[in-house]
Amino acid sequence: MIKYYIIFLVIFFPNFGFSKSIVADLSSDSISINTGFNGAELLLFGSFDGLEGDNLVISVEGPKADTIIYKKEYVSGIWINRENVTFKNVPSFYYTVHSNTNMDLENLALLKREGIGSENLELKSIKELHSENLNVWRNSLERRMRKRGMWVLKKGRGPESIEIKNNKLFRAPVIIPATVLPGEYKVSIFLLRNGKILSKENTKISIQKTGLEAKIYNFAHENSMMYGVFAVLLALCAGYIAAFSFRKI
Amino acid sequence: MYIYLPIAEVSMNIFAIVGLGGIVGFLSGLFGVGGGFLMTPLLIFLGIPAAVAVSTEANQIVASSVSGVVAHWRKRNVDFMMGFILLVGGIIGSSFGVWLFAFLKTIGQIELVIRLAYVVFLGLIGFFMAWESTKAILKSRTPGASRGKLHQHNWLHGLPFKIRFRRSKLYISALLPLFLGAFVGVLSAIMGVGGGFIIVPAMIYVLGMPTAVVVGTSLFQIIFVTANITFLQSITTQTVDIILAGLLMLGGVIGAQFGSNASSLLRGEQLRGLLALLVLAVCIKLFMDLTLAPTDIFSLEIVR
Repeated sequence: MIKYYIIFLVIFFPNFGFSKSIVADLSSDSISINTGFNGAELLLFGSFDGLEGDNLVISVEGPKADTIIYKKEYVSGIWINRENVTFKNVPSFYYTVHSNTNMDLENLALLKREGIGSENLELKSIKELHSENLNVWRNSLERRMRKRGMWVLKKGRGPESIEIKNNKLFRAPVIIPATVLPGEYKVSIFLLRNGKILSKENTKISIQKTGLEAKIYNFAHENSMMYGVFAVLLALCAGYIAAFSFRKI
Repeated sequence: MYIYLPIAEVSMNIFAIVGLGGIVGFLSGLFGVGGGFLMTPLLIFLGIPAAVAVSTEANQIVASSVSGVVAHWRKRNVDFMMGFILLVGGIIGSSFGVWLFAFLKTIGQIELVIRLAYVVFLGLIGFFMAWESTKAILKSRTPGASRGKLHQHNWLHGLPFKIRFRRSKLYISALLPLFLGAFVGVLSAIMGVGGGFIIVPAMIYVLGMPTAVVVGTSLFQIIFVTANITFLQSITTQTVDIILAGLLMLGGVIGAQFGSNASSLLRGEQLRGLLALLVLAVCIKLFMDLTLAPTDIFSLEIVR
């Protein structure tokens, strides 16, 4: 389907493949979290005007939330949370793809300067921390986010990360885990060469709760007193029905 | 087949949830316990946030206690006076417990307190039941052993505000069931249990109630205490997941029927011995989580 779409573009827009900038699209720009939601996989595809050795970098950044890191200590025989640090506005999801396994130092410096990729994010803690100490906390935040599969960094080409054809066409799967927060997801594609951004393209994915999921969530949060009454009544009825339906067994 | 739980915000296999409800329901039917003390830790092990597990389990216990109390009600095995005083205490205790829960959550210690409470109470109850059932099994092999008095009188019987509890054939201070109800109410709110495994032995050994009315009366008061917890958690933390609760109820109701049929196959003291082993196993698992070195001493929580 997407293959035909690209062929269509190439035939009817002959300079499509030769334009200076990146042209990209998503197989779908919205995801609904409904009853059957168990994560999603989108395809980001498009064309660019590149040379052998160019770097394509894709980033998908999810909605931001304050994030607390707890540190456990061994106190009289048990492990308990002692210290904690809260980071402000941490992206709850950050997916990065580098088309080259080993990127040049100047391109890496560029990504760091521009803050592209979860490892280059500038994060602020609520309380002032010594920079050395801050790094320890920041690194553990990154480690936990990766462990949860919410921050992902993929390097090199392949069907799991990014496929590039003739330095013109690319396609990359974007895997959204089931634990994502609803909100707006910013998608960016960068074409890097010799430490400069030659071209960039932005698009977005909107992830929203829909149907019954949205109704229940909104009911619980907007009318929590009625929700509580409803939950209790539901349980009373369920218990009563259960008692009578099994009466004769 | 996966289902996305709207409040827990995780996707889970629908058969795993109903199956879990069924297994715990089977065990509760078999042993005559509520099963909250097994369900809540299992939900947490499966990846449901601790706060959602505790609140949702309270909601499910409302249903399982209602279905359980009907049979006891018919046999007139509910002491309403006792139940009423217990539930007044229970509502005060559980309201405080919900507040305490929210407070512990903000200082990041709720997981620790839940685990500690489980280790302490499951350890005590498990050890006590194991000891008691071993004694009973040994006793049944030595014929001619005599039975003791119904209950001993001690300083607890000297407390003021004495009330006559007709169905329980007791004349004791109302303060006793009031404090017992309040104490178990706090634990209910924090641990996500009905508290039957604490209140039933306490009614028998501390209050001296006849065993026949104990289970019905305890179920009667658990309905109100867990309903109160469900309601308050809905308002304060919005952590009651009715989809998760509904699926657990479905599994639990079916499992409990099979469990209570199966219970006739085993003798009482053997059942209690098996339950003691189960309780101790959960206790040891939680104890090891607290004492063994964690793979990462850092953990993360996203605030919204």
